[in-house]
Amino acid sequence: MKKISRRDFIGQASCAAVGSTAMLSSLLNLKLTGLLAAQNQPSTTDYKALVCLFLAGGNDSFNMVVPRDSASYSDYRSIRADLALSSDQLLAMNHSDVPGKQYGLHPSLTGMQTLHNQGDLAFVYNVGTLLEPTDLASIESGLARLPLGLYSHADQIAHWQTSMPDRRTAIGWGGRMADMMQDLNSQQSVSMNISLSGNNLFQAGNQVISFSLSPNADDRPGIDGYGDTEDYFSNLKTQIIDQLMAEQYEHLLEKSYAGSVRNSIEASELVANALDQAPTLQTQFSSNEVSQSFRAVASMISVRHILGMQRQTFFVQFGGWDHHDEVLNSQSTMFPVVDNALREFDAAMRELGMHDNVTTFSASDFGRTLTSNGAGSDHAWGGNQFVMGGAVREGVYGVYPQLFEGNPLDTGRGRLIPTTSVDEYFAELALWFGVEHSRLSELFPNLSRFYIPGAGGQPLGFMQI
Amino acid sequence: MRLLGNIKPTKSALWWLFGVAWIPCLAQNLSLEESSRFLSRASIGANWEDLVYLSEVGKEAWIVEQINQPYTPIAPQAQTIIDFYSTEENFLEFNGIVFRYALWNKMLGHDDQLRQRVTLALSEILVVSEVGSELDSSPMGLSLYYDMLARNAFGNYADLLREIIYSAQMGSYLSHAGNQKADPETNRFPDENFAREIMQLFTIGLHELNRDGTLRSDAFGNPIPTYDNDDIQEFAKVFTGLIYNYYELLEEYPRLGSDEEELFSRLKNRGYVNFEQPMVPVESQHDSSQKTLLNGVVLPAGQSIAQDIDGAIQCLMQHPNTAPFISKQLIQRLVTSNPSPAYVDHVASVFENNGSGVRGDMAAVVYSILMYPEANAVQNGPISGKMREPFIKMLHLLRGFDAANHHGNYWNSTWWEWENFKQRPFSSPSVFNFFQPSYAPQGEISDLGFVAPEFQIFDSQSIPGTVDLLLYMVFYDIWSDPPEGTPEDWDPLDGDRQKPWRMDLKDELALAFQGDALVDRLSLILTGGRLSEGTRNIVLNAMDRAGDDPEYRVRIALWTILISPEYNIQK
Repeated sequence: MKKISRRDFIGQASCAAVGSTAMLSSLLNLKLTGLLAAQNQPSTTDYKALVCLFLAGGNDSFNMVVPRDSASYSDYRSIRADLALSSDQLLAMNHSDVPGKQYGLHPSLTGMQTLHNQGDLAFVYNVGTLLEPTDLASIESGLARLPLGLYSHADQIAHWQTSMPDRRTAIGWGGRMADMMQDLNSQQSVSMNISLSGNNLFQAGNQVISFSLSPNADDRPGIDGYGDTEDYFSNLKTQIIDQLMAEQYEHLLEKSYAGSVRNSIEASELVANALDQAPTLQTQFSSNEVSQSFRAVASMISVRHILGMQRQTFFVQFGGWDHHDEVLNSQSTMFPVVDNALREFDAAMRELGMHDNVTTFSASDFGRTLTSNGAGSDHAWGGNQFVMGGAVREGVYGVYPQLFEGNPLDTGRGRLIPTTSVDEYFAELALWFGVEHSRLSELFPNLSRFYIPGAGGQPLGFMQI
Repeated sequence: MRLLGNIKPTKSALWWLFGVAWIPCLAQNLSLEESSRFLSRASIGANWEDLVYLSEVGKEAWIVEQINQPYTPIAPQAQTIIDFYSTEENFLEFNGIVFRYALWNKMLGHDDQLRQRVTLALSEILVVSEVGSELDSSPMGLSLYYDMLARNAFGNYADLLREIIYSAQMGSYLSHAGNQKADPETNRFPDENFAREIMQLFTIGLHELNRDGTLRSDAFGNPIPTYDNDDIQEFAKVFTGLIYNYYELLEEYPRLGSDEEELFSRLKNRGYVNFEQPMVPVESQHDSSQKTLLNGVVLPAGQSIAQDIDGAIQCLMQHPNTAPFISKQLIQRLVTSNPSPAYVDHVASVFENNGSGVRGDMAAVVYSILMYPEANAVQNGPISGKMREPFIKMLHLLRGFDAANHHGNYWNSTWWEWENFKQRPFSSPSVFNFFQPSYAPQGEISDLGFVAPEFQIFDSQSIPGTVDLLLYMVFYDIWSDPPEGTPEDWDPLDGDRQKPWRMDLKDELALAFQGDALVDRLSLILTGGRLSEGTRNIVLNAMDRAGDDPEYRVRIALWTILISPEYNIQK
């Protein structure tokens, strides 16, 4: 079917406003008119975006960052057994948390090595879901308050995305943050939260509903031909949809259905219109879905001023990290995908002059057991994460744990108690994003057990704030 | 199309219907509206004749007849397709779609509707997926797994669990194939993946439940976990010692079998997968120590793999959670997202005891789900029913309007469906299915504490995708013009094999200029006559504006109803 250009679209929309269109289209026209006016204003200077790369399944991140000095490597080697990387393969990192200790990256992560060593990519060690500072004694005595459903995918994904490991909630911390900050954006019909991987908990707010965008450059958002008043059939189709969805429905599911369709159409038209004007990037992205998702994020960032966006979050999920089997082989094919996507996205942000305005951070269900189940590792708890962007302060943060079996953090099989909570990790990002100290506890109810908002200093210090 | 007619409900099949505490009211002359509503829950897409037939025989007889239909497996069809294609040079490129071809043939070509509907529901609970797994290169593996679910759809849930435990497909998907006993010397422990998911997803769930499906709570009002990690480690020991059936391989390479431990790790690590047969036990690799399972169940040391597995199944089947946990999910897949506690309690009670002391009788469970008054009452409450799954909508359209072609091969790669609907059978992104039973869209539904799982895949991508694809199917007959020549001449990769299907709209075309009558008919087939006055007027208006072409008038009416809220919410 006919794909319409932006020029056609605006032209038709203006015509339609005069004609007899259904309520929704008229509503949309008003928004578009407002948008055109907004475009003539100078672009926003205080723009910030957070990009969450979620490695779903539980990345075995003690093979992402590995100790290199001989004493620590020997602990690593003996506990990881058949899962150990050989020390001469590791890519040297020029930052360490403790003098005398050395770390190296998985051999596939050459791009991340460069970014880290030049100060644009920091690591945060042994992060995990916690309700309070927790040690082995408090767990063994049964006194520790622990996250619900430890070691289970569904629960830990939820906790990472809500930062509330003591409850089950349908609202994520990115959603709560957008609820607080959505007013900063002049365009309210398009969500602050954009997902390249469908609905997710992280971006679900009380008011804010995330907008789902295809990673595929050929997929123009929205219904084919919607709003095309020149084509008789498209026009009829548009009006049928508008009329059906504008009806009043008392049944909650019917009402929700109609509302979802309405919202999706309105936002899709606005986003499609903006993306039609996106500049062509010189940076080339690989063809896989992860790189293409980052390409789409870059594209959205390039039209931020057209959409009236001052704050945005993006969610990219890369699944398949649940390596109960073949962890070494799988990581050696999956890490390069991450590495390329980050390298490409970093280049695109520099090209757009957005390097200091956009921060990408990793998240994953959990770390994995240090011990092997025979070529694979099982669900565990604390793990290592990375943060990338011009606003990142160079270095490594948190404490890299000791790896010998039976070490003070080992709850068995090398399941490590996290020493940095997800609350601290996310609060640092939220502060940079512009959340006030006074509202941090609202966003992260358990944060004050780890960090006192407003007492000075940053939770972890990895962002230049 | 009807295959039925000569099969009558038998006494032996009916005995359990009257064994349950609640005796259904036997309906006489079921209305077509009620037939349609019933079939939206019990079928994968009913046409006019199906409604009429059900209205004549009644629900009970229809269910029994469906249950008694012998099952025709899809694996032979998959084998036919493989044989047909195996001479093609680029066979491997489209290997993965063979299963979907075979499945479509089943879904459009066979009338065991209730079994197919229940099988799709089971495929969303006992999930394996071709996405991100070894199954993507094994059409036979997926076909055999589908057949396994379908064969057991009206059998016993314990047997289903046993087949899943031994199935190479699940063994690959949740990695208990090749799971070995612990080896302290090399710091190796049994893989916990399957042990966790069989509890969390396939039987008892995360928290203790009352029989009515509501959460139990402790003295502080908190939910009570059903198991902890120690329990998982105990169950992980049970599922050690199973490996892909290697007997044929052994005939070829007898020396492989001289050391079982070596053989075991070789098969596990060298990519030898046999999806055509269940996994086999290798006792020397099994952890035969004593295992303490849940609720005081202890498996003594020295048992065989089969004994341990039977003990674990028994433990999970007897757990008070399994009946409500599985019953509620089946209700959600067939009838309503938010069943009342009484409804769940009734079905769970049938799961516990079918009336003659049998636990886990799926036929009785399915019967009780479909016949419970809450499922059958005209629902005017604000949260009754459920959103139709995208895939079921598509099947409904095709079956409801007799999509057919001249050669009888209903082959469909479902590339577009995957892209546009975010759903196609056995392609879930993870073991957590396309959507989770507890998903609640933000806003009123979530605020009131209700759920609507299907909304999880209904977003700003799949909404336009669904509207577009349904329009394409309705107006362009996705499957429009038969390609030239005979099937053997077609290039399997160009998609033409999928295309030459047409809906048979002649009964509807006869009403193209009688708007009210046409809307009545379409509304009856699709919504059980539930179209609102407002929507009816929108459809009539659309037909008027469509002009004089009868095809155009009928198809625009059909599409309008397909995207209407009344159709999309099944109730």
